[in-house]
Amino acid sequence: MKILIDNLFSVKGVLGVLVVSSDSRILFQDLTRLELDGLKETDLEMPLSLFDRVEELDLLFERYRIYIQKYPLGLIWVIMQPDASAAMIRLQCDIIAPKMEQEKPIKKGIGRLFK
Amino acid sequence: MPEELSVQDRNKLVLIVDNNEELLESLKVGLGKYRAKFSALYANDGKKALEILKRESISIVVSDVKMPKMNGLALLSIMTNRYPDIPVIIITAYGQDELEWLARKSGAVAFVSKPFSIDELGNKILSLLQKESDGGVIKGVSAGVFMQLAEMEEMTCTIRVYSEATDMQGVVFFKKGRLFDARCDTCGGEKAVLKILSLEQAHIRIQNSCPGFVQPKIGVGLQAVLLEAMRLKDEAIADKAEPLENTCLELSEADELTIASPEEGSEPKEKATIQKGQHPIKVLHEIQEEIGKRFEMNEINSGRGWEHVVTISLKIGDLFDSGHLKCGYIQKNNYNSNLFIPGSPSAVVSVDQTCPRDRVFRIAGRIV
Repeated sequence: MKILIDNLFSVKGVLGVLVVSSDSRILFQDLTRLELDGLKETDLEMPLSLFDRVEELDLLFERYRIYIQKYPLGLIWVIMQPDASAAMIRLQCDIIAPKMEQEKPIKKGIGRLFK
Repeated sequence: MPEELSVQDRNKLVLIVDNNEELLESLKVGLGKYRAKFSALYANDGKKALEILKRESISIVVSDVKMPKMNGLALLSIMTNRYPDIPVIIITAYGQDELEWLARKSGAVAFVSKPFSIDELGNKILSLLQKESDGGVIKGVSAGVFMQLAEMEEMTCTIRVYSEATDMQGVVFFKKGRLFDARCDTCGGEKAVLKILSLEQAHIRIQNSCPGFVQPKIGVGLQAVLLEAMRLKDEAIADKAEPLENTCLELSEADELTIASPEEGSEPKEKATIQKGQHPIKVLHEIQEEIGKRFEMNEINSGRGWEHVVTISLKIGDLFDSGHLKCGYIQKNNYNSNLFIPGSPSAVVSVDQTCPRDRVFRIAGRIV
């Protein structure tokens, strides 16, 4: 997943990326350029409730632009500078979303030994 | 760790960032002899450095690369974006050419290799401080007058404006006479220029260069910004209005929408807000007018019933300390998309896939 996300970070103006599963688990987050240690899953409960019936959300704030796209296993969040090339970022999301489906989170602990 | 400084010392402050306590202690002692020229503040990591940058007018940052929490390169990356006017000197270990190349590419202006002498660092700092006003210093001229001169003379420069009356500082960037960007407090772009233009008893320092990585972030010309500044000043006089920095309204004060407060123990964040006094429907009409025939919007509606979407959007903004919400686009399916401008009530318009969303956002970013 890291390699796929690096494609997003290669677009100028991308400051953070978050990948969240449809059951609210954080699968990936890199928010260091935003000076954030990371979000907790409880932070996302309210925002995720909107995406039952929404495919895409694009928000322009004073400091950042936040783009959220649904993919079959969850959501890709991209936090960028307001003047970042959003069209390029949407394109990158369209490209990586189908590939993300093939990526499975690594199971931790003894659970990985059983089906 | 930061030392407390008197107001008169604040014009030339150097921030030194290193997690090596021994090195910091020896720098504190060694740099003491430069106190007539500059004072130093100290931080152990990039995060603490950013906290200091938020509240102090720093002239130069000197940073080590390897540090806990936030390393020097991450700090450099944030600084080139948020504080492009502040030069960064990177401390590297001897023989780290690749790191030096990376840091230079990321915007570092100078390097010192460990082990270094106090005077080597002191001289580098002095030479950069001199650059800060190599185009001269002006007192008693309004920032607006000097900006007009910069435009007319097609100057490439960095203008630092300091107000003794309010102890505030702002920076404006010009490239070939074009107003590119500005910074004042936590604001950037046009809003920062407007704040700078409101500074009284200004003290102006001119640097005859503008950092290469400064990007154009102001979509309108200087004349338009000057007119807007005059209008705001007139309004302030007429209404005895609050200063510019207080024009944002906490949503909870304006609307019945509520946002969950941060958890106890977490750092207090500035809540996402909507802009006071804007008329969302009017904003959408202005956007429509500016885009013209290239894009036809459907009927604009008052966004009653959209409170839930706006509340969640603000909650999303809160997670990243994003400032006020200007505009949103929401796609429910291939045939159902909407643009909205938040407010009380919000304005909503349905759009199709030909909607030039980025252009709409650029216009909203400018006028909201």
